[in-house]
Amino acid sequence: MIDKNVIMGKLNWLLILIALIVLPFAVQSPLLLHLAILIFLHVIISEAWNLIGGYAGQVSLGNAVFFGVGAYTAVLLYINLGVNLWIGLVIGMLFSAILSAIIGYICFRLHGVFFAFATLAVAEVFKLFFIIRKDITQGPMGVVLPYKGDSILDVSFASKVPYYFLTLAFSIFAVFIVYYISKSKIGHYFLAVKEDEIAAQSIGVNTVFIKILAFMLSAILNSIAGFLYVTYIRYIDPYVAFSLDISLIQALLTIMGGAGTVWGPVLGTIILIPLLELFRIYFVMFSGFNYMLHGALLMAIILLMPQGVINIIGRFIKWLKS
Amino acid sequence: MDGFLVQILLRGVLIGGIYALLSVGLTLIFGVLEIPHFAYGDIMMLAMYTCFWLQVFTGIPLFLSIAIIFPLYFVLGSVLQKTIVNRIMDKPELSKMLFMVGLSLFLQGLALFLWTADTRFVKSELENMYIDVGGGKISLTYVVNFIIAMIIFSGFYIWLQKTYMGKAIRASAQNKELALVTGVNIQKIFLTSFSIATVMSAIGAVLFAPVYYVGPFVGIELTLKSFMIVVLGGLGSIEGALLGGLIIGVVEALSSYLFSSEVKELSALIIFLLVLLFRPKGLLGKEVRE
Repeated sequence: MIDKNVIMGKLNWLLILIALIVLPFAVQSPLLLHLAILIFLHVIISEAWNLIGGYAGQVSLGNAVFFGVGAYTAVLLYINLGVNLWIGLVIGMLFSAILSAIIGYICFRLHGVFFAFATLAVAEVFKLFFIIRKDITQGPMGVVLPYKGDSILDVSFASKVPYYFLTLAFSIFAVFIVYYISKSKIGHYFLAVKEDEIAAQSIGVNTVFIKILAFMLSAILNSIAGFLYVTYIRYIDPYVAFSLDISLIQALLTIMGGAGTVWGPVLGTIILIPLLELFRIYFVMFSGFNYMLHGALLMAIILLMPQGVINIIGRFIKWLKS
Repeated sequence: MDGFLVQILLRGVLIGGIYALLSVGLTLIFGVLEIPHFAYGDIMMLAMYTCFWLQVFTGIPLFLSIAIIFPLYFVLGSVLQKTIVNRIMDKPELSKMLFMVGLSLFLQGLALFLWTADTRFVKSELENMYIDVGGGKISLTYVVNFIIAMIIFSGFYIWLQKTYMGKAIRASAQNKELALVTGVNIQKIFLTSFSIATVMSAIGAVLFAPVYYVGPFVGIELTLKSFMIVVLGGLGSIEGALLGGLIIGVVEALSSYLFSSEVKELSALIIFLLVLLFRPKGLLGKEVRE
């Protein structure tokens, strides 16, 4: 017997997917496409933070390291050695995975706030390293990714539509990974580590391994986002790539939407990113408002709704049904 | 060459003393209120701007501005503690930290909005006066600011050791429940600690400003620097802040002399990470209950 609800549920997702695929052809506005691309990019990094911060409960303030490594690896290999960008993406993901395992192995000796500050310090170290090693990284001037006409191999397009589909595909991938993990045994290990690390240890969970695993997944997703960012913007410098802003926005979006839930970060991103980006575009003369908004929102969420928006919506739906 | 090295080391020590003053408040806030004060450096950023604008509008000497900043930031600290910090006291540690991250971002935005992203410089009257040290010259700014910092630091230290309030604060840092049992007014302790810590950091910032720069985003650098210093010395230890400040000061001076100013930041960070890994309690840190 086939459950009607399941079919309806699947149908809903199919409809949403079709809508997302048709959308760029229906709306031609570059601004809307730009906003959509930004949303998809931020879905990837906020889901990345969700894994380490939301599920495994380790507040990382240095995820920008992997964003930067993902972006720089592909671009530098491409420009200096002529390695195809897609291969660069894979190498960048590998680098990020290895790096995050090493950084995690070292930093997970620390807990809570100390872990957070250590990751922040690591991100600073990477930023300075990329500034200092001008011979490899072109230093603080940054790297420009040349435009090569429309080419899938060079990930270079005149229109925003291909970027729309690229970022959409990877953001679906990110959500799928988080969904899959939340349903799996690993996801429960993550939650166990978050709730009570000592208790988890005592029932035989290798908590350091679990935390490193969460960190690695988070790092890989970040490096993908870094790659997509640099192919879209076609420029990267150490101040952007390893900025605290990138590490913090993923935390903000996740906490806003609801940390430790599959759809929380997506919700947070959809609500916040258009708001922040429009603010940035239309209130240039009020520079600083963006930061104030970031900060005020973060404070308000932690004070008023630490469970995130998704919790409030969930309660509202329950209230409607009852 | 050797005289030059002496000069470099001395400059490191002088800066280190100022570092000790500007980071000691963080150890107090962490120890007593148990708040990872991420906006610590942003309050310092405000103090630097206050000092800058005082100079621009009134032209008073740097040392006089301390007399204004002392009461001003005592009040600011009190208000901040009463209105904002008190609301998050019972939140989990990481929520407290993220809340303070929010405050930090807000203050950065505010500074950016009010005073633009321009880099500004606080002038010191002693800028062009030098003393000879082993064949090299050191600006009198460093020397005098170091002396002021050390006087205030010692005053703070003696206050903590000798007065009732100081003893009560140290007692609460060690064991809050026991302190409560002995009749300590914990709310008053929180308020006083936070205000005093804010004042210390603000004065530290004023003394540091002439040898640094002022901008909306210096806060995060100062927060990280302060955190590095107090963790290096041992969180909760006043002497540790002094030791940490001196170490970071000397390491920075040495590496900027040997390599470049970027390497200077890098070497301090790497020393911090190494200490964090091999001696997480810091150099002078005591074992505390988990």
